[in-house]
Amino acid sequence: MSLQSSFIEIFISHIKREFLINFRSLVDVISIISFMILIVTLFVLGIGPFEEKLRLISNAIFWIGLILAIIPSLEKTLQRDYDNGWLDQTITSPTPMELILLSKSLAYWLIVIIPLLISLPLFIVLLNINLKLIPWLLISILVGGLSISLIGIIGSALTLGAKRGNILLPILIIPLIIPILIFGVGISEAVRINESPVNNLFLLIGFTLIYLVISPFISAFLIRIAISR
Amino acid sequence: MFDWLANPNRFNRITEKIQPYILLIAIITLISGLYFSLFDSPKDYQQGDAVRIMYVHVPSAWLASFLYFSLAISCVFYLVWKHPLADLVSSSMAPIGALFSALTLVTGSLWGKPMWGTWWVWDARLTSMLVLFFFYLGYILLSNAFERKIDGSKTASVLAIVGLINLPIVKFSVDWWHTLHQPASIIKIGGPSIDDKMLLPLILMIFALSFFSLYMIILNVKTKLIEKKCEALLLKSNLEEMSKIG
Amino acid sequence: MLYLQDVTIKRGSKIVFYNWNAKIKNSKVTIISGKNGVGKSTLLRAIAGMIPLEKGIVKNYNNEIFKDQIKWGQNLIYIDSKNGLSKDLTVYENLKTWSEMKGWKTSDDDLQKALDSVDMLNRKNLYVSQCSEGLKKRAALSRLYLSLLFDVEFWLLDEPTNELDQNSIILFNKLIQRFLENKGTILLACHELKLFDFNFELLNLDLLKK
Repeated sequence: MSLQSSFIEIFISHIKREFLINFRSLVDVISIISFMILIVTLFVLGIGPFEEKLRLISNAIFWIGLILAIIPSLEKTLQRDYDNGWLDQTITSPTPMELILLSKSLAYWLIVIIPLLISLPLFIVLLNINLKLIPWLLISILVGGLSISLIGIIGSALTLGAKRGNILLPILIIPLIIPILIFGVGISEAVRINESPVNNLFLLIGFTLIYLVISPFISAFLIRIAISR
Repeated sequence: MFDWLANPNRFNRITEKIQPYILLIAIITLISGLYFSLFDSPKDYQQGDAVRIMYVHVPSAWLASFLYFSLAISCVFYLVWKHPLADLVSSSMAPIGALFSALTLVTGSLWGKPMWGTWWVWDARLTSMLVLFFFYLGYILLSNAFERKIDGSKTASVLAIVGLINLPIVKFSVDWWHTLHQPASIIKIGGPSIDDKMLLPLILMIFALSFFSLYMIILNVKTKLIEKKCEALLLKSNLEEMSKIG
Repeated sequence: MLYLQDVTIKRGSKIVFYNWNAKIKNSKVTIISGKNGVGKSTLLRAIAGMIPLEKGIVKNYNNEIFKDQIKWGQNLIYIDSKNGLSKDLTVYENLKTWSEMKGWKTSDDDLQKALDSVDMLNRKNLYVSQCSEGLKKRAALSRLYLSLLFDVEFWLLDEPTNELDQNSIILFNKLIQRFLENKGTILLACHELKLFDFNFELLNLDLLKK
């Protein structure tokens, strides 16, 4: 007997499931945006209200805020389905684990990226971001967000069932996403000083592509280890 | 080759024989290396005696990177061929590698004070080394984060391999970041050119520290083998009981 | 017919089964019994493919079941105490996403009937977070009805009756009868044997390991 639905249909149904779970209660969405606003506020309070200073480092603040705001919600992406037994059900299904994880990271990417894109005008105002930067910022958030969620899935799979996994996760993840920060800020900085940002953009895209290929395999491997415990 | 060495008894027998020699080489090269680096090598015309920190700093940095590479390779062996000894080797390397990367950071900072007037400079190499230190730390923390030890070993091995893929990218991106934000006028650690007389103590020190860490790793693996033997003895009684029915 | 040949299963570094052989007859219910910690769940999870075998093979007639993960995944239902229900979804949504994940095209009608078979139809829009343990178990068991429609051969059930009330156990028995009529094979880990009103084979792990 062959499969009734194609893998693409199964893939889409997984993304729909993640959307149902995450957007039903808007708590996660609101917490990501408000967490990011608070991080930006802390930075500005720490630096002082000097516009000149702020203009120099607003790009860095934006990216650090983005990364830090995403990290706390990462742990839940797999842990929740591990605890309630959903991952046991997926591993005893005909769909390859790799495909399920790819759909999970894409779903997570959309879930995180949509609220951030909606709130982008707010950060442009708060951080005094130059308007000519906006198209580049959009692209870099889209690409960078994808690689953060791809790496995040690996981190989430690494800490499945670990003691104090929520504390461990940032320590494991942050070293891995340093390149995203560097290339992401690099794009904005290049635009700010009127240079071409394409070099940085290509590097960011390349980095994302690497993880697009390896992340589903690595995290599926990790989940098989976690389930066999 | 690895398969052949992976037998714990054979490992014990072979290392028993070569361990004293390794220690001997380590001691001889360390003493001669220290003599040359402290007394019989030229001062730097800019840095004076401070340049002598290099003889600890550079070998440590080299070893920290090399040990991470070997650790990750050994993790590949563990995951693909499931040799329990490979896991022992990589978990024995981790604390030593972490130690050397910490040593690199400390000596780099000590070197920075006379050179740049501050204890810490966000130099590309030092920053990469800091990231490497956190990879070691993550490996050690993760391998101890699970109820059962074997679960931690497998998961942490995957992390080490991810790190192996990611570290060159981090290294590249940090270099990229550095050239992006600063023109390349700063004197890099290690210096642009090395005097021949500096080369000898440097090589001696690299040998000394390599053999020293090899010795420590073997010692570590042996300790873990003994620990395992204790566990296995418990397990064996369990197993004999089972084979009676089986 | 499921053959386990020279199977060694480890959990962590502890060996639970050592060079073990067993035969599970098809179109029958086999109940795995034994003390706590003897390895009932481990055996079920290993057959389901969640715990890799250290050694040995499991055959369904002449096919090694783990060779073709896609086929084996379509061929079994595994339910244990964790249920696999997301608490942020309703009972109905859980069943729907689950059947989609299995790769099945189910109509709304099928899903309704499945929920009806465990008397959950009136609670289909209840969030799983609001369900008691018994209701959750019933929601999970509604999958068994769906599997009757899609030629599934094996049910691997780990203590399915734990939280069920009298009425639900009757419904559960009915599902099992229907599955047996479909030539299905059931492997069930359970303590209480008197709950079932059908003939079963007993696989007592206590006896096999003594």
